[in-house]
Amino acid sequence: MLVPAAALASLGDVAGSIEMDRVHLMASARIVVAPRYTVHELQAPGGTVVREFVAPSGLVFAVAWRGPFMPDLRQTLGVYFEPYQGAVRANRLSHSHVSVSQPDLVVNSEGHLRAFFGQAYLPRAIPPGVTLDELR
Amino acid sequence: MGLLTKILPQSCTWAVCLLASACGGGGGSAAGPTPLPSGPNVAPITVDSGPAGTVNTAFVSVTLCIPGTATCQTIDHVLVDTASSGLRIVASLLDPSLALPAVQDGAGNPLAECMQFADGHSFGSLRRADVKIASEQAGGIAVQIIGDPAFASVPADCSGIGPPEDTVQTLGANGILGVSVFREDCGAACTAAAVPGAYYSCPAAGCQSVSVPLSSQAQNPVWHFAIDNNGSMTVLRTVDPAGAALVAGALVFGIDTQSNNRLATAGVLTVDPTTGTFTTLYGGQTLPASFLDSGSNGLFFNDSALPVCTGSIAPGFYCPAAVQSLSATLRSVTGVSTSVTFRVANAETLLINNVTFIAFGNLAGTNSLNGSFDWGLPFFYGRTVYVAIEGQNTSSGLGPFFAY
Repeated sequence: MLVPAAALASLGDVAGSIEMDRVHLMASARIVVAPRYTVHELQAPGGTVVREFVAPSGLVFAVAWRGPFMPDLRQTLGVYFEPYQGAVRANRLSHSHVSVSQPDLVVNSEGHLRAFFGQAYLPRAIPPGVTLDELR
Repeated sequence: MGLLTKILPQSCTWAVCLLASACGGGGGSAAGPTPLPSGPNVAPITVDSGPAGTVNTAFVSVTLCIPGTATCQTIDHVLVDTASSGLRIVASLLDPSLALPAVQDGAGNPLAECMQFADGHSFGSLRRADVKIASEQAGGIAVQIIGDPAFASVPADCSGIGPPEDTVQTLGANGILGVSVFREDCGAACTAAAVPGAYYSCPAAGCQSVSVPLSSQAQNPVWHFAIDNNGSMTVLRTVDPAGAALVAGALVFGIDTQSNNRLATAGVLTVDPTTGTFTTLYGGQTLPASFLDSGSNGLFFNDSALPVCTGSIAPGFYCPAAVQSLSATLRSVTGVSTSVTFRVANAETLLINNVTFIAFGNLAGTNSLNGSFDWGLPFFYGRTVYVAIEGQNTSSGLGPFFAY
């Protein structure tokens, strides 16, 4: 199945796009239900686990990743990828750290090959009662 | 690894942009109680502002030769990185006469690599070179040529990692000398399957993700040396609290192989053999993905009690009103714990006070995920830090481990 990457948004999109993520990442998936959201967990071939946090409205309000390789952020950040790249270019903190903090997008990414982890979320879309610590 | 800059604003790509340091000169000292190591297994380290105007960046010179020939080129200001493996050089610096042969797949197609960083990707060809550092030589090993114009088309799953870091300015150095605890950058994970965003076979029709054998991956040169090949040791002078304009040091090859690289009483910090990480206990947090990272220009950790800089000079770094004296516990994977004390000064004050200073032992920044403590170059000042390579034998057993 060939789908243009630009059509495969996830963060900020509705949950249906997770199936496209799964196909794009050639990943296996499982779903975990938490009180205030649902977590769709995808494991990519390299072993990196991507978790997409879906609000009751269906909105993907956060993604988190952990594993030996970086995820394809163009895919997982969707329409937020270009703003993310612009923010990184404008303010490089370190090759092993990214900290983007904007009113509508927060990305924290760190680590090195064999041990990456990170999170991205939409501050204005986090369901009430959900703490940032949960988004990992 | 990591960087921030102290250069002219109009050319700055890194977080910290200050006034030009072109006035030169300037005070600030970096001292050590004993002479730096010397000998055929020693490459001098210099911490200076480098080719991209960065701070806290440790550089060495590395020579690449066409395998088996005397056609060579020495590249200065290559970043010493204990958190990655493999030698990477920015393509534009190489003389056209240094025609390094391609690393090929089984069908004879050239291989390329997407080196992944948290903040972006470096794409380029894999080529074979004799790598010479000090008097040591690694013969015909795979190195990466970043931004190789013959491989200009970056695969989408590589560029999807983040912005490109394929120039001296975006990389912050002329190259990276990765001397981590691992023999190769990727290891077994890239031999088992074609991982998107890692290695590629690149026939004329375009690059495709492939699995590659270990010998085709970018190599930590150290374990290929004929002698002094079980690891390395970095020695850096201490730095005044206000900073220094220049710091001298040494990258010494081998651990307990010569009189100048004795492990002696250094404490061994074993690491996870898959990730190269250990656990740091700090401020009630347990941080299992911690690492010693000479390629990172600060100490990066999470402490909500430390104010983050609010100005445009050092976003993401800490700016306490007064210097903070802090401590953490480093715990090896075998459960051995040691305590480390460190100081955090106001990053903006450090960077403003003397524009010629580029080395700071008390520079720290945020790390908001509560997962790791990145012990960057400030940890290495005034210390001797050993990096024992996986599977290589030392007087204290097999690598991988750190010691200090």
